[in-house]
Amino acid sequence: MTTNTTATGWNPLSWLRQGVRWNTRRNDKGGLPLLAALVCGLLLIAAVFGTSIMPYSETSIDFEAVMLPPVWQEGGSSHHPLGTDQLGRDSLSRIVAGAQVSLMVAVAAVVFGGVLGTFVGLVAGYMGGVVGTLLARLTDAFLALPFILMALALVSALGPGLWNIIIVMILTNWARYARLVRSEVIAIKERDFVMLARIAGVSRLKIALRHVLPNAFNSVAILAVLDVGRAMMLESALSFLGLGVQPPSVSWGVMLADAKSFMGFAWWLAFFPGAAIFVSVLSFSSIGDWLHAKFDPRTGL
Amino acid sequence: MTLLSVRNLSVHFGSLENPIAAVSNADFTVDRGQIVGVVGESGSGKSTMCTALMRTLPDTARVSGDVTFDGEDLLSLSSARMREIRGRDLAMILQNPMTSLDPLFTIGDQALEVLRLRRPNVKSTERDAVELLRKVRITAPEMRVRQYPHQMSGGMKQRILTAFATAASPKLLIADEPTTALDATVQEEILSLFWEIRKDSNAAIIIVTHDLSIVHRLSDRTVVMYAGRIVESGPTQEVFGAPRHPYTQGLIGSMPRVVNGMVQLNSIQGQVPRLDQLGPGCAFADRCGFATDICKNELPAPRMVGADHSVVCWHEDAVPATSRASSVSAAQMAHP
Repeated sequence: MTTNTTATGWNPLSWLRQGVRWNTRRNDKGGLPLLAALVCGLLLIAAVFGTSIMPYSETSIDFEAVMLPPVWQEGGSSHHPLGTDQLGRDSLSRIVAGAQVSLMVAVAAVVFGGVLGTFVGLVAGYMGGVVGTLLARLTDAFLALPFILMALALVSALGPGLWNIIIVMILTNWARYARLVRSEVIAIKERDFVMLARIAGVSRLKIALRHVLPNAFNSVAILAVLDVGRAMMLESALSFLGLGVQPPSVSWGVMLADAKSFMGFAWWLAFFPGAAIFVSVLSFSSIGDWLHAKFDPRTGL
Repeated sequence: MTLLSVRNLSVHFGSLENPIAAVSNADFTVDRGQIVGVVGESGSGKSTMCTALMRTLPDTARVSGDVTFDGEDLLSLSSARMREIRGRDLAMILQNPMTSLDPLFTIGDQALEVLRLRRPNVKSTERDAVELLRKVRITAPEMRVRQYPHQMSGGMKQRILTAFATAASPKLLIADEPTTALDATVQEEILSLFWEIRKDSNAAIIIVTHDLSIVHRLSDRTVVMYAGRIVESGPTQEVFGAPRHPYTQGLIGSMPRVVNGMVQLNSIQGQVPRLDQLGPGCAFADRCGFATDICKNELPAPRMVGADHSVVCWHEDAVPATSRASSVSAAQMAHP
């Protein structure tokens, strides 16, 4: 039963008024977490325009400014507000450039994985029978595989690199969508309007695409937003282990990996990329939670 | 002239060794332009029977028998041909209008989907959608076509669904408890809409309900079902005026009546038996005041008791005249 009777609808003004809040509790469909939206917006700007607006290239080496601390610490330089690394590369520029890689990998993994998983879930849920069961068990099998192990195996087969890591993440990610969509589709296809469409003589394919899929889309969109954060973390983890993005390309995970030898005396090298990961993942999660609370009628009951 | 003829229709669920008969050997006919009421308690197989006619039962159901609709054998048609017939010649309305429309699309969108399906060669526009709604007397249809299902009342939705179902002037409309989810005043609107549809397009209508007064006022024929079997069927006036099956008598006797200013409410003792625990005899025997040994052990065959009136009971002759008379008050209810 759809008992969602919120009449507020799409009203950005009310979100502004309802204010900044990190924690959207389940039952009050509170305002958009503004801070989180801000972070995601900044991240997007950084990813799209970042490398062109930064004064330094993320790979330009400057041996006269090696291991500079952030600007507010003694010895810091205003040319490098977040300091430099062992080769004199500007930390801020590298974080902005890393945002591009991290976000691109995450979004690509979520979009392609989401499309693949949604398709599998739709077929599995709508067709049912032997095909449906086989697809569902395949999904379960993929969900049961440990991610890091699978990534290791795939990367050693494909070799590391940007595109390979995206492929790895698609292969490990689609199953979550497939399972979600399958369960939604199984529920939706029993609803009266689907039955009536069949009675009206609409073909099964058209019912699946026009009535079942759109009704499952809400949940997919929510999972996708939540998943962007998760994918960023996975990308960082893989890059940290040396399986992902390879130097001189930069991602936050690569920066962390670089920083680990200097952690004792150059805290900023690890801190800022780590903070970037932390804040981004948290932001995507809170926006996902907010969407979930706002669009899932069941949470309001 | 016969439009739909159902012979020996059975629907079984469950395993092959231990099948459960949701509908057993149903026999009935529907003429063109005739309104047939199907009554019975919950679980008596009314809805299953109608869904079987549409061939939209789940794959686990096993349907057997002969169903001839407009000269075609429905049960053996290819699914492509069946899809052509569904919606165009054979339409259906479900019980709950609240969930019968897709919540994501406007009424206009859904009306256009119906119209395009019915007339693939004609370009349908919003004006056609408005006209479709106007036919079922939706007020301000120009505004309604842009609205979403959640912005409408149940009665309005049921009228819209009726409009969708009858968009192609079907020869037979099956209405599965069309008014159960609606309140009493809205019920009247829907029922008079059915009356008009029949008048305008000579469509036959099967109304499935457990509300006897609807059947009594609206239908030409009445079919009474109990535990998956048709126990009595005949012209409505005869079935209500002189019911021959003890179960029909009980049903009619349990309609609320006003006697000397007091509302009287009778009921049939006992409960509907579980379909998986039916004995070899008449399913109603345990609750029947006329039951004898033969009732419990042997299934009665249908017997004609009037020109077009059959009853499935061993003791239809033994039914006392007084108990027939008790139903007269129900028969006196107004006809629209």
